[in-house]
Amino acid sequence: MKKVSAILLGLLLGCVIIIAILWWVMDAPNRKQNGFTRRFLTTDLPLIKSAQTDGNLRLLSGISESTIYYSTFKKGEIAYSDHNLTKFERKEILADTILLGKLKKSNEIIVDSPSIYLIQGSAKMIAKTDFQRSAPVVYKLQDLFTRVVPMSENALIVRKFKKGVLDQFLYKYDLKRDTVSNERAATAPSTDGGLMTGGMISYDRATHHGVYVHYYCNKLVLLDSNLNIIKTGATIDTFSHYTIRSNKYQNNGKEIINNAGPTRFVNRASCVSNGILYIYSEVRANNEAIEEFYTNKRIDLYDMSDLQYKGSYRLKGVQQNKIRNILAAGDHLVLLFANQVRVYNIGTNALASNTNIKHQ
Amino acid sequence: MLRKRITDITSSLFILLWLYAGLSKLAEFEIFRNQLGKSPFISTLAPILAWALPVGEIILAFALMREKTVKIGLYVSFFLMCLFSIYIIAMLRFSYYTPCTCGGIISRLDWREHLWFNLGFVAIALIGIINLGLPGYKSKVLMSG
Repeated sequence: MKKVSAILLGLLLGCVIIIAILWWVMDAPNRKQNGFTRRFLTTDLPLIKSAQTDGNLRLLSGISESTIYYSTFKKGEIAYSDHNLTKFERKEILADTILLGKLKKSNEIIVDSPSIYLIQGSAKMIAKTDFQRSAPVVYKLQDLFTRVVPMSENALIVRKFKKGVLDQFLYKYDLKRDTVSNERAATAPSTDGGLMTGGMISYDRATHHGVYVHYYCNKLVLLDSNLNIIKTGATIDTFSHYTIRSNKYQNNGKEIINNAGPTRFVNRASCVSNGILYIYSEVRANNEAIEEFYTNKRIDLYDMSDLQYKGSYRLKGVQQNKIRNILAAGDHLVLLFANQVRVYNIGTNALASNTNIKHQ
Repeated sequence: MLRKRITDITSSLFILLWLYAGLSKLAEFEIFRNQLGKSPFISTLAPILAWALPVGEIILAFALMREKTVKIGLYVSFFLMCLFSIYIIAMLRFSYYTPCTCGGIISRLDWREHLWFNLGFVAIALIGIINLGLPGYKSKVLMSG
């Protein structure tokens, strides 16, 4: 029996050593120096409130001065709370069962008060309704799409595929006329369906500028209200190359396009408010110790008029790792993690002017 | 007789597991290879592991079918299940990215469920190995056989 125990212990130890070696040789992007420094604001961002969510909130769907809206994992349902996160309520916003059947659990909901958009890119469908559960107006697009952002009550920015081209482009969707126009190639040409050039779109009604923030490299693209490129810029990190590669393979006669290696986000979440672009970065700066990097989070701020870096907020003691998305309105910046919502006070027009900023 | 049955049950469970795991990986080889390549821990080894793992699992299943190699088969099964369990713990704790799990029905399990599943099989392997290692096993098997 002693011999058996010794063999089992030896095997167990062997497993630990093998995994430790694999971990040690793993190419972890934040283990090494990334060649840039962040300019942290002197004060840490004050936390107004945080609340546990038990993972039932999927995404932040919208924000107003008084209310935060969330998509849930139930089709056609939104949740909402006040900014102090005192009470969470849920509401089913789609009474139409046929339409509900066309949605998947992954359907995206955007609340742009008073309108609510239910978006299903894989079904080429956008449904517009409101809190009174008015009969939804359904818009059918010709092609698959991956991103939708409201510009105004009657216009959306859509990132969608184009027939015969394995790439995605930006379009302006006029809801009144039900027309798609202003095709723009805001990202580099690709043949992987726009996977490597994937990113986030935000539209700032204060400046009438849109911005495309790449997930997998540091590129930023500033757009006007007709989606013309005003300027291209970069986030402060040094990842000018894509951090992922795409891969095509056949499975059961279908061509599948996927990322070939681990997904490495450079910019994981972003939003705009009052002329400021907020980016939740996943890249460690030289002036952040590794331990500090993993126990704190950071939001980098850019000016929406010229994409200039304005500084960074440090969010102390955030143990959550899986960020879902972020939104800002007025004085508040909201971060939704897999199991937690956090609301921070960013102060009115915190960085609209650079004159009052003190840096470390 | 009871101890022979314990050995038969534990080895049979592993035979089913390894055959299923190996064959389902080969059946959806491209997906499996792609998923392996997404793991930060083993992305560089993915081209080799994509073949070695399913082939090794099938060989292991055959080893467990033979009386002569059932003991080594259980030891290797214990080793692999421990390795997979520690790998999952490390992925959840230390990896900056966690890809989808492997193919077949097991792919419906999330990482934590997968961990519990693996730990269950570690326990099964332990039962089988301890049962084989207890004194008097061989003679009883021979007598009952």
